[in-house]
Amino acid sequence: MDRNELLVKILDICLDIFGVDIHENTKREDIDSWDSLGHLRLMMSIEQSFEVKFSMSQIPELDSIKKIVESIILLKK
Amino acid sequence: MERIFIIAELSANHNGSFETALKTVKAAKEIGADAIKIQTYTADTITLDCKKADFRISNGGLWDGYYLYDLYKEAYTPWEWQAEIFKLAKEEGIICFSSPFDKTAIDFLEELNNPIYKIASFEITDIPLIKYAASKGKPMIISTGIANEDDIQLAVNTCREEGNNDITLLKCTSAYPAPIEEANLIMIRDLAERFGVKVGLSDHSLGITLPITAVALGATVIEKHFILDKSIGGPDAAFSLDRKEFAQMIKAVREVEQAIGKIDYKLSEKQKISREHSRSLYAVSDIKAGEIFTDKNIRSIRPGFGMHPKHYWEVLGKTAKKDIKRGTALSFDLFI
Repeated sequence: MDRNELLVKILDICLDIFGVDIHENTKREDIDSWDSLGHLRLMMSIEQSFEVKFSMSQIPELDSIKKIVESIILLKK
Repeated sequence: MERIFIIAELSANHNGSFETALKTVKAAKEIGADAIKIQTYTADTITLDCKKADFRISNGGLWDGYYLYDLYKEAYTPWEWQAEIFKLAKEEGIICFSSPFDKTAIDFLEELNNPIYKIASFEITDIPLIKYAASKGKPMIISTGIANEDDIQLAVNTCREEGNNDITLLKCTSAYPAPIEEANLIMIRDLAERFGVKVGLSDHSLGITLPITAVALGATVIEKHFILDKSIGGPDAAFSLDRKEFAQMIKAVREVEQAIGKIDYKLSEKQKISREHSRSLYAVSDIKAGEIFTDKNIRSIRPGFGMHPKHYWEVLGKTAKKDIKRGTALSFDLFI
């Protein structure tokens, strides 16, 4: 899966969880429904979809789409 | 659109079977719950093994006649199961978290990477417990079933003093089952405004009316007891939803989420098309050139291709510029 495919899949997951359209430059602070519980749900869904595991310290830091994309690419290497 | 966080409360619905507990986690994921919640206490950490009258339940409810110690011994989720429950939930892709009932439970749950702390209704006055849980910096969900306004304010302040502003208060009736007429769901809005927090419902009623209503009133979290099958029995079975009922509740909650939508007076493309079926001014009989428009030959009718009906009085008394056939949409170029 290349970066673009990965991004599209993440944006689909976000749309399902947050109920609003977001894009590559979206940050957590831009979306009201991206609150702490929404973040936990997002992390869980991404871990499932991409078969990756984030560390507990990493999870709060993944507060933008770009950071999430980069972290998945790193974990998949 | 706010997406509601739906929690399936396992509580005592394993009825002492580890296998049932694990099956319930899987089932919660299958039916689409966002999280499964367990409880971390033992009979010894939550009460005393004491047969004095103080320790006997005598409220006429579901557990009337039980001694607290015996009830909690039957209902508790053994701590040695909990790591496995968290692990399975992670594998299944469902969030798992727990209600701690004392400091040792919080320390234990920290080792399991518990992501949310839920404070049960009867623990809202346990300020040391709330303080310690809040200090972990995780989202705090606090039930308010037996709390007065001061209790709630103190609990919220305690979290904030620990630098934890991630607080959700749950409206809750601490009766098992909870009568619908005691639900006072209107409080959900007030909790949000008065305390400046997120709000939800911890529901112990029978059925799914209350969760659906709560969502319409602004709840963002719904917690409900979940049991694989009511024939399993146990102390919480009577007011828990089984798989089919819980799935129905989730479906209804998701529909309400979508139905609430957003405040926007702009018309969607669909609505714009539908406006063609709204009313407008039409010639309702043949009108000759030079004839006067009257309430007999023009009317406001459906569809909406003619002039806006607000022009009705301006048009009355005007003279037709040319012959107009019955059923012609009126426009400014048809009269003088």
